[in-house]
Amino acid sequence: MGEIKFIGSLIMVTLFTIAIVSYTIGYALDNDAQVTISDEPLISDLGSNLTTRLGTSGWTENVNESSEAFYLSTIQSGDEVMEGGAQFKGGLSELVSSISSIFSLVKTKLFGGSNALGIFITTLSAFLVYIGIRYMYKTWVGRNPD
Amino acid sequence: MSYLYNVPNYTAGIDQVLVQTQESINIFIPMFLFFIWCMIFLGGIMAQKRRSVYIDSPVWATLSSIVTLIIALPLTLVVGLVQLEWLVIIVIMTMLSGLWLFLDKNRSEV
Repeated sequence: MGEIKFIGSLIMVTLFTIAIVSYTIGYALDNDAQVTISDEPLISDLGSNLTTRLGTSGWTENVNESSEAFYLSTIQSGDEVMEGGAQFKGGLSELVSSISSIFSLVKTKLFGGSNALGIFITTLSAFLVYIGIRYMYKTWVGRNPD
Repeated sequence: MSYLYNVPNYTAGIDQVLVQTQESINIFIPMFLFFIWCMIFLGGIMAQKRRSVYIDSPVWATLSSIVTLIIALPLTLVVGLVQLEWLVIIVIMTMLSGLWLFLDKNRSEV
C-alpha cells in the first residue's frame, strides 16, 4: 500500500463515518424521531471531532499550507533536491487520530469500556498504525519493509 | 389457552402489534435486524462465490450494514421498537464495515 492510497483509505474511512453519523442525526431531526442517535453524546462528539480534524484546523488546512509551501519553493540549478518531501509529511497524524477516535467509540459503546475486551481493539488499531508507518517507510526510503 | 407471551391487540394498528410484540419478547426487533444483516451478507458472498470464485466480504458487510441501518431508522419513529443502544451498535457496525472496506488490502495494495 503506497502512502497516497493509505492516506486515501484513511480519508475515505473518516468521510464515511462523518456521512453515517450526519445521516442518522439528520434523519432523526427531519422526521422528529422518538429514538434519536443525538441522545448519545459520544456519537455526536465523534462526528464533530472528525469534521474538525478534516476541516479548517485539520488535514485540509495542513494540505493547503503544504501545497503553498511546495508551490513557493524553488530549486536552484545544481541544488540537491530534498530527500524527504518534508512539505507533505504533515497531515497524517490527524487521519490516524481519526481512526483512534472511531476505535475509542467502539471500545466504549460496543465493548462496554472493559479493558479486557478493549485490548483487542487497541491492539488492532496499533497494528493498523504500525502497517501504515511501515508502508510510509517503504514509500519514503524505497526499501521493502515486508 | 395459555400463550408464551401476551398476545398483541390487533385492532390497535400494525405498529402497535409490533410494539406489543417487542414488549413481550425484547429480542424480537434486534433479531429481526440481525436476520436482515445475515441474509444480505451471507446471501451476497454466496452468490458472488457462485458466480466468481472471489469473495468480496468487506463490500457485502458494508452493504448489509447500511441496509440494516436504513431499515432500523424508520423503527425509531415509534417508542418501544428500537432502543438507543441497539441503534448505536448498528451505527458502530456500519462504521467498522466501512473501515474494513476502505482499508482492505486487496482494494488498495500497490
